[in-house]
Amino acid sequence: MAVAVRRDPLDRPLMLLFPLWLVVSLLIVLFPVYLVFMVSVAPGEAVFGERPALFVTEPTLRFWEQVIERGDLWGPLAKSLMVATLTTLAAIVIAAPAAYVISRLPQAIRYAVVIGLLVTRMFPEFAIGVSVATRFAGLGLADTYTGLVLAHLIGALPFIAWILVGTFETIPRELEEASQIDGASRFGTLMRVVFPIAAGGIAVASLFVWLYSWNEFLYARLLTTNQNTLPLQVFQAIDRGSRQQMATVAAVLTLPILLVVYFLQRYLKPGAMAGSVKG
Amino acid sequence: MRKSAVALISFLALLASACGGGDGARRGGGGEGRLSGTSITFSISLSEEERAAIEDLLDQFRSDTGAEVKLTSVSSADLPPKLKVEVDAGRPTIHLFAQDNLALRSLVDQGLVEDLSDVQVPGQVVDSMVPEQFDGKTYFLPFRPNVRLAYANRDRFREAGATLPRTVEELRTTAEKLRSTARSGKVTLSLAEGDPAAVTISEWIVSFGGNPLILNDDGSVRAFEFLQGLWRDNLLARESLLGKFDTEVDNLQGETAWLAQNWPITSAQLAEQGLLNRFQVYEGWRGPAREAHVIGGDVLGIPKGVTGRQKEAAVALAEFLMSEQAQKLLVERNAWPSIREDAYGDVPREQKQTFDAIQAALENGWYRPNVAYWPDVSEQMNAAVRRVVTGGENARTVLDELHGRIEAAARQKGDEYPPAT
Repeated sequence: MAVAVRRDPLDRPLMLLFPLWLVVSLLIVLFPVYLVFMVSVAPGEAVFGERPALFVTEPTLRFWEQVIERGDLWGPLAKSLMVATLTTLAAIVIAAPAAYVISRLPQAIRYAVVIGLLVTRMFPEFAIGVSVATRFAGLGLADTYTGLVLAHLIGALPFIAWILVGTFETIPRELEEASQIDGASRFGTLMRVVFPIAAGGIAVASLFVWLYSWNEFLYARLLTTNQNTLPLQVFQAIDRGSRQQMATVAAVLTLPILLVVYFLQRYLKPGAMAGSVKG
Repeated sequence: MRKSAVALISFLALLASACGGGDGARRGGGGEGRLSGTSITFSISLSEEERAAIEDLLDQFRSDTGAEVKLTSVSSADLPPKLKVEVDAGRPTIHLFAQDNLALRSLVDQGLVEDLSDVQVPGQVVDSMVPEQFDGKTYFLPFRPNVRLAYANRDRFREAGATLPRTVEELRTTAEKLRSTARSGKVTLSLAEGDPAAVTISEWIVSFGGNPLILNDDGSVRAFEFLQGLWRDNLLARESLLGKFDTEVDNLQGETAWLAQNWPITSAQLAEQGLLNRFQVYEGWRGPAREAHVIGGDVLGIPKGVTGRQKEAAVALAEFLMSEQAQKLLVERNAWPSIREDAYGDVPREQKQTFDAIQAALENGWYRPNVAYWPDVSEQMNAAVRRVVTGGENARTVLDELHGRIEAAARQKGDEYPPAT
């Protein structure tokens, strides 16, 4: 007997509106990115006047050439890449085991610890930033990669631990028990069962930490003198440069982010945890 | 995931090692000389166009003395917290800095700068260019004077049949013509909250014969009534409330303003875009009492805790930057007005108009007084902008109230009040 499927009368209009909504959303998200790249190749005339052009008919690579020839972006680019990557690796190494342990604590204690992690993020960063930076400078960590990585870990660790506690909580203990019944040690279970299942969550947390460190400004400003990070270099261009110089440096700032997202995007799919437990 | 992670890390490491040597601030090492083996860092905020001349000067200093100098750029707003961190830690990484002379008080009050009373300022430096002392001590040395100039859009002025205003009355007439053509106010004054508004209001009060430290004298009241009229009659663009050194450049480029006042870095930025010839640059307008331009610019200082050979090198670099040779090069390459009376040079053709305007404005320069209660004066001037200029309240009533607050702050800080003229 055929079952008649009743369609909601709103289905058709919604199906028609959905692509339009998608296009508008994409435009809202991508238009500022387009503007940054467009202005970076715009000659002076194109950004002059009450109604600057939305399209550049005679683009110039002058500002990109200046940035590349001058070479003062490569040092900051390298420093930002190294600091963000080292911060992310250190944060995962420190926070992942800790988060796993927290996720296996009794619920009341776990709740208190997670709240405790979040409390550390409730203070305005600037309120403690100067004191922390002073202590770091006193230890000779000013203008060093180590100092900046440690400073970034202050902000990153509670955040990544909080995300990973949520990830490990969703992994059933039965999987670990099954692994141990099969002869795996506790550490082996962690490395071969728990962490691989949590890879999606770890990738998301890593991306957030990497982006946090990549864009961090306060500690970079206080602890850096002779070699800026890229956000400081962007700020300098905003402070003293032209619109095109600012746009060019900002465009350079976004390129490595695209690269990192490309590497991590396969782990950013929703439902990465699905199928870990068979019924 | 492991392969991807290894690939990513390897790529980043390769990139970092490939780029690691690219410290654009360091050029060459120190040579032979009395300071060879000494390394210092000099901080100054520069536009790209101004940087090359400073780097050439540092190269010259290196070859003369043997000291290695790294050039870095910490903005005027960022310098105080950065110096506080380093001075409190007892490990300065900046050994000589050039700082905006409108932002010096906090450096002295926090004990962040060395006493430079022993350093000799060359006799050829114009007296009015020597920074004020604090409590009888010299903490800062002259380097680069600066004033705000007026920028007028030639084409729009022509269309409106307007001429360059040289007095505040002419400014009103010009603003009316521009408004008639554009149907909205096309003059911006830098009235953004904080220092920009304080600088603008100081100039207006002094040019009306008032004293910003008093704020309720006749000159101050007349200045505020005049500004209130400009605002009420829609002769000022509303963007004035966001007007400061960077937004004013945008206002001029985007034609939000057809006439605006701003610091000369505007000329460098417009020149970079090939737009400077669209603007007439001149010194601006005078008030009923006089013409007044707040003297800004950069002065040199040495952070507290710089000692030994590094202090010796920092002092030597400061002396070199005040020398005729250095000042002349800065005139010729950057069109910076000189602190010295003997440093003349050929200004680049494109910057000639700007240079002449700066020189003319400096003749009517006005130094902001270094009183401990200046932050309170600045706060009350900002309050007056909100309440009188844009809020439309009675100028005399409001300024009497704000004067009371300044007087209380001055007495609380132990300063003489009313100040000696």
